Amino acid sequence: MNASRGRQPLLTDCGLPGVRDIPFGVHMCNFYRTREELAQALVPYFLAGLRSHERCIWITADPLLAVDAKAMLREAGLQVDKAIADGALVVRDFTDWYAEQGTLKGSQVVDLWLAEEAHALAAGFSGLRITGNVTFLRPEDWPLFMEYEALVDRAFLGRRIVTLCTYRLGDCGATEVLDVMQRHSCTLDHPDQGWQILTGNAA
Amino acid sequence: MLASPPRPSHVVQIYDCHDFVASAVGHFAAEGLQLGEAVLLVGSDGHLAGVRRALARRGVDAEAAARHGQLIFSDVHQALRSTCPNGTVEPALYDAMFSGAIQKACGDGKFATLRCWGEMSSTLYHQGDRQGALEIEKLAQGITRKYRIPIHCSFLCDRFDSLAYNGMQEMCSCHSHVIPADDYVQHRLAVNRAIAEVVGGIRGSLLQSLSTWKGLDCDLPSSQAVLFWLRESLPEHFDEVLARAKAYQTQASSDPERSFST
Repeated sequence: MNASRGRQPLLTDCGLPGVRDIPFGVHMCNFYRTREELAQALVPYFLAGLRSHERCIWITADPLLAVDAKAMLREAGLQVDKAIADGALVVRDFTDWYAEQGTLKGSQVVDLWLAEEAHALAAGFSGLRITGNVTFLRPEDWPLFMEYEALVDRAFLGRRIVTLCTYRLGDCGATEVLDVMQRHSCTLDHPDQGWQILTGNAA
Repeated sequence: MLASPPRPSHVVQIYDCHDFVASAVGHFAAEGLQLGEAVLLVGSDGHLAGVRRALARRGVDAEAAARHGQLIFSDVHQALRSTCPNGTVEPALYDAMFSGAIQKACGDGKFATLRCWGEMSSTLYHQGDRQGALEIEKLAQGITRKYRIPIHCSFLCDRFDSLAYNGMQEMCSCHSHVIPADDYVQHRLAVNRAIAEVVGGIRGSLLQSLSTWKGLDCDLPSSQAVLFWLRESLPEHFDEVLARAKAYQTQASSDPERSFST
């Protein structure tokens, strides 16, 4: 597996206008305000992943559930059912996904993602592309979830995994924004025109 | 951080309430004693008395621990006279205070190691000797590394007073970890609400500013870190944010049930 990994490109298309190539192993975050802003990030992000022959896993949550996500991908021209049947795409509501996984510790969830990466590579995909929207988090879960994000940030480095974690801005005060930025490689921001990657000392 | 501080570590607790010192240091000391460590406490009479009461509430017999040499109480003014005989701190004398305590408590293997709490720099700072206070903290940083011990410091400061922020930031920068409040959740909620009201959501140029902010070279909760960022990046809003955060924190402390209803 390492030999084949060595022949594969280190960069992949992010899919967002203005950003283009991102390195595998990147663990990005994005703060969105509305359902539309969330879709503007995730639909092109997954279309690019599928074009790059990556296995794509979209764990959805309010305000954009699995049924809506699939509809938006279809509107963008993707043959969603075929992609799912081919094993290239998984779109699941977090309630289903977590019900299947049970109650796992952060390190166990990380192991699960690493197993998904191995599964994707073994099946011939060029990598794994994932996202999680965390509107389901309760305030009391925040410290543990930040520990999980820190684990992910370290564990995914150098792996053939691309991650975009999305946070609803209305749920995040300034301190939560800083918490999140400190536990991700970079922040994807969508100012008035195009997208940009913010990297810096907080990240 | 109080129960099992990393070794080495140099922690500063920002306080504006004496009860916070007594409870935090009582916890720090009680956990150390429980682990079989020797504990050196260098403080004012008032604070040492408060720590004794806090230890008693935890069921710790402080006097017995002192008799066995496991718990050492030291007067901060006497410690300053011993280590600053000519008005400035003598590094060798300051080192000797710790090496002597380690030798006495751990030399014969009686106790595994030492943990220390002190307020020498805070005392000096509030006597008007800012430079001396910072010098002591720099030496303490070296002591923690040399002997691989945790040192917990308490620094008196109103964390919602913008005029106190120069000193506070300097103090934080001399430490490895910062404890800015006794209740992190309340602090976070108060700071978030104040920033949201005065500055608005963190997006666009604010997000960019926060992502590139250099920060302090120490471990501190985000609720305190964003205040340092705000002070540097949006100084025109800083006083108003602090005033509101203080009001919300006070409100939460006095009536936790109704504290953050909007």
